[in-house]
Amino acid sequence: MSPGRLILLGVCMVTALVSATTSAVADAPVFPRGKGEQCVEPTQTMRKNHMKFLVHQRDDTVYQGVRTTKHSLKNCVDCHVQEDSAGQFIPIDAPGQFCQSCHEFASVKLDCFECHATMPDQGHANLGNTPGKMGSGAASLTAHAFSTKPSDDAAQ
Amino acid sequence: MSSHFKTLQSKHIGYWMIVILLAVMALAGYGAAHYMEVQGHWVTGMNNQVVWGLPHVFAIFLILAASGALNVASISSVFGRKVYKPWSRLSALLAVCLLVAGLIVLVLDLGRPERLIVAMTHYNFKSIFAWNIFLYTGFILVVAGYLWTMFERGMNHHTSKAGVFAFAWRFVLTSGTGSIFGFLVARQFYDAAMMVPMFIVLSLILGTAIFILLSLLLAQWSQQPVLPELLERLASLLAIFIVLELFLVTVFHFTNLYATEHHGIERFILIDGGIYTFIFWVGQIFLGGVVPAVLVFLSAWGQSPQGIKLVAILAVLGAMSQLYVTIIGGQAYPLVLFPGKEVSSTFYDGVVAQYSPSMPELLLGVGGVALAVLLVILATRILPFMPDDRVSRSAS
Amino acid sequence: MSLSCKSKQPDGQRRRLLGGIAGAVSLGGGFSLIELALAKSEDEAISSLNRWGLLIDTAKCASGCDACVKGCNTEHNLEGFDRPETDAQWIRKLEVTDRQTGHVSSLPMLCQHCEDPPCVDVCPTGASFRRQDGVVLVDKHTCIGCRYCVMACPYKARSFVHESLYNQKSYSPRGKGTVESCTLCVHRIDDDRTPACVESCNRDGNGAMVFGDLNDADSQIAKTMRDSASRQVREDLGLNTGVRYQNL
Repeated sequence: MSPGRLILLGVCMVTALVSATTSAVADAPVFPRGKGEQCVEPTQTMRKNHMKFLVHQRDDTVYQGVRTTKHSLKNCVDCHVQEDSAGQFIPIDAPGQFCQSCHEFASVKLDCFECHATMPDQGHANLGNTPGKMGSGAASLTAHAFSTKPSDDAAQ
Repeated sequence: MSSHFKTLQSKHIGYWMIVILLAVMALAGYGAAHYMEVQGHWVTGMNNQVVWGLPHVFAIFLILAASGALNVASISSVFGRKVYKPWSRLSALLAVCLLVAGLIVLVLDLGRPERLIVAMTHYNFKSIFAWNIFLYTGFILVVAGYLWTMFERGMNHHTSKAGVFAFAWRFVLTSGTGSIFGFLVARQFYDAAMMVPMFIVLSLILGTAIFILLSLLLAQWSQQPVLPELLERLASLLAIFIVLELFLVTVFHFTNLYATEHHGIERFILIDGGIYTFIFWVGQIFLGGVVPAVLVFLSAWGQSPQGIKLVAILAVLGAMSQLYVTIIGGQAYPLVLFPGKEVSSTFYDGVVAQYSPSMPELLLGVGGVALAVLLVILATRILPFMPDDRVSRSAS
Repeated sequence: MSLSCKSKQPDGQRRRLLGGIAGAVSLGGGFSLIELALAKSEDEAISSLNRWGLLIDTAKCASGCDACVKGCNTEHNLEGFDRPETDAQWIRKLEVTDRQTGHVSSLPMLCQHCEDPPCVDVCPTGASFRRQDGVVLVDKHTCIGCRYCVMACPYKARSFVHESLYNQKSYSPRGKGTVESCTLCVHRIDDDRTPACVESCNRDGNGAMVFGDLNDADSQIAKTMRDSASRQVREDLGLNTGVRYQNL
């Protein structure tokens, strides 16, 4: 292969790489916001470490019977689940939903929902976000619960 | 007498047809496993009554065969029998390939095969399965080391030591496999220490029979027959193992028959268990036990290559029957929750469980067998596993 | 979950000791200090001071009544696929007929929450485990679906999930390829509530089931079991089950 062709090949590859990254950023997942002002941990922390929180909580719950909700998967679902126009919950692992959109983007298989509920229990919604009842009051209630907890920790 | 070895690189049309056929069967097995995993086990014949089905029969078949396939190498290096030495490499290779295939079948039948890493990182050392994970992977390493001492001229003087170690390891391995069933207190047909010797002898039968069949197959293409002397010795060994197994099976059932609490399960297996009774008497005892033993010990034809081939096939059939009756039949008989009482429920309590093997299970099991043979054939192309008799003869 | 032999004798002595204390500090008004101490907050870990169990009176349990089964199926959404051979059953009604006398008993059969569970012994990954408070569970995160525990359980209490599930309850995760069984409603126990089967039996059935702490000498279940005979199913296996039966 001549040097000229090699350079041409190199240029092509770099262009391809750059266009791939830019298009990737442009394709960054769009997902619905959770209820309330902020998550149980700072967003950057959650992006990086949510799986660690979940695994830690999971072992505490399964083996120790610890049922705190701060880092529980159930809490994630309760806060981030969306409703369709008819007021029905959309499974959180459905395409475009909170968990699925990001995991699809990162090409990481989402295994939680093979077993775990993808939406709050119907008739068991203790966070006030049952279909049709999703008023501002309920939203602010959950928001309050989540926004106060991190500051509580900080205070200690 | 030093032995010489060569690769087997046949250009035979039959050779390639068999390679392609085996590859297709192995792929079909993988496809079947994938289908079972995606759909879930409801597409198989397995259910909540018979939770281990045909894949387990094949997996344990392959694992037992692996342990037994080492016979030829063991007899050569542990007991110093020269006539076995040219085939010792192939024997060790076959052992590794059968075990790998058996483990693959076992893993692919798991509910969550993709979690194999969990089985490698989380251990409960009271579980016989956990012991077996070490025994099985250890066996592969031990035999690989054993093969290395055979291949590497400078290591040859360690071969007999490695052979003794591998010999001991495989007995422990087969004991571990027998203990899977032997230690199950819940079920009537298991919970018996006799499972261990029965599985050990079964492994000797299977390994010897499969070695005979495979060496005959490969010998066709390498244009060198297996020496009749070796073949006859293997056939005699096989017949002795078969008679020994018949003895152990008899002891096992007699012990059960003496205890009233086991009359139910014995009646089921021996008299009114339908398909299981049929497979026990016809497959395990008659075709797989009595007939091959009689052929070898009482007929001249049984000592001919054709006769020995038939004996080996019958032995494999008998071992397969025994595993089917043990694994499936043992589960089909209902648990006894209340001795002396009849129970009924919506969950099949007190009734014989229904199980008919499904196509995906059969494909997975047969695919595993095909994979084992394919691996052997491919390995013999790459490294000199096959005996080179012409050189051996001229040297001696 | 290791092979280490736990010495049961001292443990048993400790329990008796605690039982004695519980008896000594019991107050008037139908509650005791120990019971108050047992009400666990959600961030508190479970304790081996408790051992949860069930007492089932087969004299009260009626043939044909399946309130407990319905209660369980609703609680854990065990609706199934109308494939009885592969659908899960965590609790089932058994009709037990004596071959000699013809006497018929009806009783619910479920995970017996053994002290020495064979399912825990055989599990290669330790996914099958016994909580400190005596509840036998499957950690479905580490279950590989080998089904050895199903082979080992003397009570046929375990089911393998044969197909993909949807609409699980948030407190009761279940999924394809793993093994499951009665959890004694741990999500309720951790919340100081009674298991769904017992609740249903009391509400819709004949009040044949009592739930409680076998280690608490003052609990109704411990008192009843001390005062009248109860049996374990397959007691020959010596598993010391947490579920016991009366009038069997």
